[in-house]
Amino acid sequence: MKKLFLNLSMLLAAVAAFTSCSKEDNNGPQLRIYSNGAYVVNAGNMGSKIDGSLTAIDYKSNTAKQKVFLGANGVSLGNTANDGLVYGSKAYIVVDQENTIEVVDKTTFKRIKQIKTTELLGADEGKSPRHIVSGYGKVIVSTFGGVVAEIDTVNFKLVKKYTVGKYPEGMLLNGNQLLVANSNYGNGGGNISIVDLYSGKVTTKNVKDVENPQRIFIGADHNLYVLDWAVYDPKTWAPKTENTLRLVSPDWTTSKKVANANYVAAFNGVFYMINAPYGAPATYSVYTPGAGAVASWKLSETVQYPCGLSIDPVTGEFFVLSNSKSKDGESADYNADGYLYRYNTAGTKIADYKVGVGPVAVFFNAGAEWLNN
Amino acid sequence: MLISVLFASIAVAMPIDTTKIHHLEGVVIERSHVSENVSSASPMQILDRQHFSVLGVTDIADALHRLPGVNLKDYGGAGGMKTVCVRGFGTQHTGVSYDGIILGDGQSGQVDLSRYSLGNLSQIALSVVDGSDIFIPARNVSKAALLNINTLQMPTHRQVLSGEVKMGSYGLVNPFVRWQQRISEKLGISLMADYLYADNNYPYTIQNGMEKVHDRRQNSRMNSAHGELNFLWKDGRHQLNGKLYYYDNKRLLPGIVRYYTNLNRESLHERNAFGQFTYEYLLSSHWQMKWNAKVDWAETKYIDGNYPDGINDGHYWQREYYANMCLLWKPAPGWTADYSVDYSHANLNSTKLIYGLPYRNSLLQTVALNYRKGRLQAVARMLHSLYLNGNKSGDAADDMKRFSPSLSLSWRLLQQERLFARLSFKNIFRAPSFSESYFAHHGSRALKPESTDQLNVGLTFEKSDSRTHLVLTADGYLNHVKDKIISIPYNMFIWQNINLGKVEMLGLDVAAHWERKLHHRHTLTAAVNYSYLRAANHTLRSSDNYGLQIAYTPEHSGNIALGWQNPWVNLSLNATGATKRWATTNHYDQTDLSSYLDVGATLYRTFALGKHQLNARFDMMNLFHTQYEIVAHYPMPGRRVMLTLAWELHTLINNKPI
Repeated sequence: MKKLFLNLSMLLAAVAAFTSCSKEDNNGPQLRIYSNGAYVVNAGNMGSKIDGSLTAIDYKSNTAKQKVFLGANGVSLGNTANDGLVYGSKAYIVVDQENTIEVVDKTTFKRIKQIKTTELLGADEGKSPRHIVSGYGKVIVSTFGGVVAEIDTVNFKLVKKYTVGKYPEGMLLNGNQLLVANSNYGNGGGNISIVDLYSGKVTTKNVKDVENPQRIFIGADHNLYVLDWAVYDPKTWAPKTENTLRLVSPDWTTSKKVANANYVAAFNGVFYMINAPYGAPATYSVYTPGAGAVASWKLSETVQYPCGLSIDPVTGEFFVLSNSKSKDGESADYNADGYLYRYNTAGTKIADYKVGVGPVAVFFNAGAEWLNN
Repeated sequence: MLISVLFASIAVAMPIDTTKIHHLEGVVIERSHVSENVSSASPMQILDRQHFSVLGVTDIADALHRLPGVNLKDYGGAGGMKTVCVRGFGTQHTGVSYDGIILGDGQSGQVDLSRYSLGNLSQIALSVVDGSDIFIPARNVSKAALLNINTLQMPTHRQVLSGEVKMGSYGLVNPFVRWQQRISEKLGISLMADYLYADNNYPYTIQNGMEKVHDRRQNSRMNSAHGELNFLWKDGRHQLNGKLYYYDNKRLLPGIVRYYTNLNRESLHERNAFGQFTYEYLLSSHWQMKWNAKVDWAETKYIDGNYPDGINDGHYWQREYYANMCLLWKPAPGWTADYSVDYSHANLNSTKLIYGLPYRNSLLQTVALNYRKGRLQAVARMLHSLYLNGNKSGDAADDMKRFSPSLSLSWRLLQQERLFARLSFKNIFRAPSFSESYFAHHGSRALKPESTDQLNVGLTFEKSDSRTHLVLTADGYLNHVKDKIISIPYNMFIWQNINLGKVEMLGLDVAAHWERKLHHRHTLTAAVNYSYLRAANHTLRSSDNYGLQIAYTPEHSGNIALGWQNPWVNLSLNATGATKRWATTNHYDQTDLSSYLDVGATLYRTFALGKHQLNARFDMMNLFHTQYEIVAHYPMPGRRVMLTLAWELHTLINNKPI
């Protein structure tokens, strides 16, 4: 597990340092890494007739443009957009209730292809696509049908599908392994699937005290960490476990609580966490593996109803999503536009943007490109 | 202040004399040739069976559209869930009675009216604020409005066999059969059964950005059956009638429409069985008693095949035991008084999602006075409610007890004309439903009841001569809801029901019914109803949402129906419409549901062949194929047709009328 650790941001940072040094040379192509903006996936609110949407934040103009998919294509993303990413020149948006993956040009947002997951995988396995990761010319999508599907990014055909555990959510591509968090829909008994992408072999690991895994991370110590959400009793709805970030043993058998957290993002293997417990103010913490205990994470200003946390892999800037406060009382409003706070690496708020209803994910228009002189 | 003025006026009004009276000599109701909806001191609208054809009423949803003040929540299609909201109140504020006894649904507190087919109904009547009838169970006045569904009564001196079959677009087949028999001079029974099948796979068009999406509803099959056994036994001063009822519906749920998929795998299996009995006893010319009893069992099985391993499935069982006693006393001419007491025990259990094994014991009592003299009618009532909540495994919701007064007055303005002014007031609350108190995520044991005030002022008028009959009613009202139960999120996973909302309603309901005999065997009928309702969110004055129209409530709505009865083929045309509604409290951009007008036409004719009677009827619904939604993302069906053939065989029995 602790073998090759490839952190995109670390690599990109290294490349950036290199390219900036060699800028004067002017001979031969140069590799440039960039991050031009952040895209926010808004789920909308199905019951209230509010479609999912995509908000595009442009760093240069420091503006947020709403409903860019609708604007570019004249049609809506549909109900309950759930995740997205930029890979190469394209952006991919996963829409749970529509059983679609929208493939668009990452700058114009023009639709290149609408992948219908139920056509790609059949109705049983293709229903409710959830999350997406990318690598080696493919995107990989998890579905509530209990599969992960490897999709070609040129012809958008199914390359291979793997049957994993129940209700898979977040994934991590780690070398030739795909790690999948099987949530079991919050009913407890969730586990981790390890897909060997070379051999196609899938192994399932039941990790002690991991009941509702949502996301998997690699820490700076090269250990694996799992965000495990609370499991509620189906009758009393009393929490049976907590929302925690957990350190998983290298043999995938046991786990240890790092901190309470609902939302986690990692940068250079350092964990930033937001814990938003029931009926109490949210707390913010940071954990650097191998460098002592969990510390308080100081932000110059905090949002009201946090519902997501992401970090730009190039700049290291923090993006915290929030729902708006209800105008009629002390609660989040799931029928109103949410907002996003952007912080610099020191935790100082540098901008805020309006986003759509039900923001669920942020992904970045970041990558590397060759510059020819 | 207002209340004290009202009470002062009743105090003054008391010494005079009453209203609709149950004549103690029999069960005849005095109407003094004034229609009930005109003389009633509280708003009341009645739709009789004979109007179902004349006004082209196609199903119970359509029937409800003919009543002013009603806002129907309709998920579309034959068998799509239909619940009723009156004058801007939530569904749970309208009680629904079936042959005099309230249909209980402790789980959600709302009754799905799609269960009740018109074939078996004699009348539907809606009373708002408070009814004029006082010889009724306490539970029947425990809501802000009451919808009475009355089934066909026993034939007096015949045996009747009737059969009916409806066939319509999108796979609708609805056979119905009823047999009624006078067994003896004292006993009559009837047996009925109906079955409804519909594919409901109707096409619809929705807007996706700049494009239109044309698709068909999927997974919307309806498959339901219903049977009833009724009996009536009468001997001198005693009368006993009862009903055994069974309903079974296995339906698929189409879910909300989406743009790029219509895959859905939800289904719902509902079963309901009840027995109810009413016994009336005339003690003397001054005293009359009535007992009601009911045992009710309901099962709901929800399967969500969209999610593997039955993770969303739920199986629920409810039981209710109910008993009531009403005692009517007529102390002096013009005066009638009633004491009614109701007890019920309801409980709910489920495979999951319901917290514990909740139950509720309710004790409701009313004292009512009915006074009528000359041109004045007055009804004053006090309801005492006691709800004792328990939970066999877990915490119970808070108990509730409260007094709820109501008062209604009617004054005949002119002695020679049937012109009345009326005024009524009622303060009532509804207890939280089991779902609101105990459902996973949302349920809260600490909920207070949702409280309502209603003030109604109306004018009613009736005129008739040998050829024309006209009824006009107009009511303006002011309603107020506080501690409205709403669900708010703490985070994505945990929502909680709390008492938060306040709503102020200002409305106007107008209804007109006009009938004119043009010529021998030619009659024209026109019925119009119009409702204006401004239902404003008054939760927080400083909020941007303050004053906004509450969700799913049109400002203007109405229906117009015209009928022409003639010797050839009878014809009726009708149109139902509503202005824009919002799916969200904050009127979020593009969450409005656009206004609509749904036009229908009906052709029908009766053929009599000796003892046989044959009715043929052809309905064309939504003639202009209007695409609209009543509930967001649930498109209503477009143009469709229905053919009804009904046959009836009567045989006279040599018995006296029962």
